[in-house]
Amino acid sequence: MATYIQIDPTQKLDPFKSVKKLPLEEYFTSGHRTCQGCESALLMKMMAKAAGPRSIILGSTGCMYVANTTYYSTAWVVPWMHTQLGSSGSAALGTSAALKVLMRKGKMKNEPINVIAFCGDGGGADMGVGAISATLTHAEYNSLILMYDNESYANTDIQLSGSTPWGANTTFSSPGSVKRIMHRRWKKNMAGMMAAGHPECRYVATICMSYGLHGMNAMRKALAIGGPTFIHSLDPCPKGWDYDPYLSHEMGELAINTGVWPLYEVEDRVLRLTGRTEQIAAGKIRRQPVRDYLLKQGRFAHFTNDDIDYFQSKIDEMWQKWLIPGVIPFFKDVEADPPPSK
Amino acid sequence: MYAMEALTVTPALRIPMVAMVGNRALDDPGAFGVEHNDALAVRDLGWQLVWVDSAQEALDTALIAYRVSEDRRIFLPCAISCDGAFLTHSQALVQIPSQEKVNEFLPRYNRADLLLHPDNPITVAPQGNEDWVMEIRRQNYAAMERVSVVLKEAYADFERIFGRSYGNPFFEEYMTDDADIVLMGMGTLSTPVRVAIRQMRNGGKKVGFVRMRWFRPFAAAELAKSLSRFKAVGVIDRDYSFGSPYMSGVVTTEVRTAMYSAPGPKIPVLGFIAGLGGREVTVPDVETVAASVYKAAEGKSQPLTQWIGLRE
Repeated sequence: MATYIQIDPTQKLDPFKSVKKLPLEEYFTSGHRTCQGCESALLMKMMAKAAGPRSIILGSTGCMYVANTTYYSTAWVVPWMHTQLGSSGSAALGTSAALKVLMRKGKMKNEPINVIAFCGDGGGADMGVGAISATLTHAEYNSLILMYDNESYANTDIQLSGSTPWGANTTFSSPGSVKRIMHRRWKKNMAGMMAAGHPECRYVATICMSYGLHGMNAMRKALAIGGPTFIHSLDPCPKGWDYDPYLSHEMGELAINTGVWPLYEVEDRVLRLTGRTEQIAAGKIRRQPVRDYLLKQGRFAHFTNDDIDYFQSKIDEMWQKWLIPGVIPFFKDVEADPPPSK
Repeated sequence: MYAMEALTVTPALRIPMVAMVGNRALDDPGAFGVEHNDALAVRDLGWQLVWVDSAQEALDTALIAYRVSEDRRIFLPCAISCDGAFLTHSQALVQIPSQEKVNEFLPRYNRADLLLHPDNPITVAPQGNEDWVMEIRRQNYAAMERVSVVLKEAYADFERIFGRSYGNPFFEEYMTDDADIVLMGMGTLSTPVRVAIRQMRNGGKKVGFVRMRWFRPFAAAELAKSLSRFKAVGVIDRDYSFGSPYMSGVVTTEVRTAMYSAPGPKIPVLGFIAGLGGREVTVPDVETVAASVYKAAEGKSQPLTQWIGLRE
């Protein structure tokens, strides 16, 4: 079968066998001023460690821009450049295309360089969808688009985004005595959307730094597989979600164990549930009730039992009724779906 | 804001991009024809801006733009504006220079220590607040100040290597030596203007034309010195600037600013809005403009802004 796509070689990035086998060198080090318990900062640190020094990072506007790289301090020990809020896709494509042509023309030493563009849920799943989508169709250019999802526009003090969970308290959706639930939109299924919408994209995955090794290995796979790739990381955010910073790790685990955040990867069109999600789907462990997850966060403190039941019903629906649980939200039959009336 | 951001960061990041702009009217109503507002929209941000009126000039200016933009002293983007349809969709024979001559004129782009590459782990464009922003902007100010010098070097070298001379890089003068009044404009309206001027001269009227090339940087002192020779100036704007001083177009307002600090007595500068959305600027239109400018030269009061060729 003829191949019209010319994918350049990528780096050899084997999965890490254990935490103890991780390299000691830090490519995201001190010099940032992220909050205590910031899982996104942890994601950046482990991404840089997983990718290694022969990398170029493009950082779109957001927490991981302002908190990490406000002049005159920077945490990055790899080349890093700012890009605009909705431009992570463009920056990834532009950088990888530029490297490819410079090497082809002999103007730059030929070597595989990791191109990683990161975006928040605001800049990526809202504003930047168009650009990311375009990039994922360009099969010839190697890049990883890494979306860190703290479920809000966090850098400007927590405004709701298309990835904010139903009912959450943000500065744009504060509960009041007349209207308790202001944010009535269900969270966008960004990773599923990217996987389903771009058949030539060879790797899409969801991760969470509470399972750091799994996340790092997903990033390595994305960087090694060739072509444009997309990873969506759920990042508990003590400020936005309103919980004590030391609970961040547990919060990620709860998101996964309650089934709210399914871990999966789509590699060359083959879908695999991963980590604890795989075990839940196989019936090896039970899904915890979402109440355990929601009520640990101040942003859901205003929830009534009805609200929690509704949220639970949506998660149950995701697991029991979706065509591909956790990934593709198509039903066989159309059903009514009424949230609590107030 | 998020759409404009890509245009603001190009000079802020000191990217020596050369953009070819086919000036087209902005939405709405989505006309296909030429207006200059699209390129003018970035005039404050640090882009070099130049208007050409022929295919040959477009080609030559592209080479000059790369030479200036990629000079380490500059590293600012340049937008070369070609009137939509009239220039972009017309055909002309051009002289294409040889690769050897171009290689002599254009040194290889070298971003040196600012290169984004793993061998150079720098952080490009960190975030900055009130403690550093003024100094960062001042660097762009200094770079734009240096453009005039580098531009003159480039044009001189261009003439030496390619044998084509453009005279004064910043603006082109047509029949101005003995002119009483002078008209100004940018882009392809130069064609009907020159035709009209030749006809008016046949009729004994001594009119000249100054065609602005480089709008940014704006050669204010040089322009003021040149315009001070005339009795009145009429600027034809193929753009609009609603709410501007006297509702004049962009170029008119900038010319007036340049003239404000000109030596000698105050000269009337009249503004004319014409040719929007690709409407033709006709020879009779130009004659109407010239007639009004003549009246101003004679001391008669004329409106500071007039719309030409408008259906009343």
